[in-house]
Amino acid sequence: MAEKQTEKDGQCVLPLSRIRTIMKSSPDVGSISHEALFLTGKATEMFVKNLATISREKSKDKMNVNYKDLAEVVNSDDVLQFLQDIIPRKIKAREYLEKLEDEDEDSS
Amino acid sequence: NEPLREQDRFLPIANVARIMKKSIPKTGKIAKDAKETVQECVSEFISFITSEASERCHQEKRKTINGEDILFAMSTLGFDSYVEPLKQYLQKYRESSKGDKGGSGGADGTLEDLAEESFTQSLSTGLLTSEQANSQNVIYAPYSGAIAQNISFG
Repeated sequence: MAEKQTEKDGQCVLPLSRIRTIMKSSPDVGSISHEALFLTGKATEMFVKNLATISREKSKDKMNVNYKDLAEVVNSDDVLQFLQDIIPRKIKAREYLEKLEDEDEDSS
Repeated sequence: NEPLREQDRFLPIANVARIMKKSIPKTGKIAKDAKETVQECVSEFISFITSEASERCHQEKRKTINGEDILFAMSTLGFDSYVEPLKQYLQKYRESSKGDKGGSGGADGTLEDLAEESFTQSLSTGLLTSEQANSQNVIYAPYSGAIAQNISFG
């Protein structure tokens, strides 16, 4: 069993070719070494695991992962600021309209 | 750069969901919009790290992003806690690719990706002489085969 674990550690469960495609879509990216690709893959695995784990820790629902919990984590952590546009906190339409009204009052 | 097709911009959702499931109890569920969201976050994460790593690469006048650049980017961007475990994974990766014949020429690997810096980092046997290491496109294939022949097992 222990052997199987070490086998996996040297491999990545995510498709490296797709990761490479995404990496190459950044501006001015030249070539990418195999090690860089592998490390990015492993880092991504770790990132996904962490997101799921922290979401549950912060949530009242310890069993499941919901959008709301993810939004909460991302919006309260400085390191995850780069994700804030992707996971905005959802608010009800009524709250949004109230916000707009408040802003109107402030500016008049 | 042409814009990527929708399906190329993200990692497959099944893979993402599978990794998430490892972090929750067996009977736990992941909401569909949560899966999709994490899928998008992942692409953003990859781009975020890559841009940082690429910048360092350019600053040092290199053309190939190597492992060190990625680790440096992780640390700079606040993912410092990832660096040590990543170094360990890298160790396992190097060990597991030692025995491969022409291991670096895998499905994604192209020779143009093997620039001098990544080369000297990943080869611990030092079989390549300094003259060979200096050339831009190094032919990699035969060396690991040569080693296998010289080692006798039991």
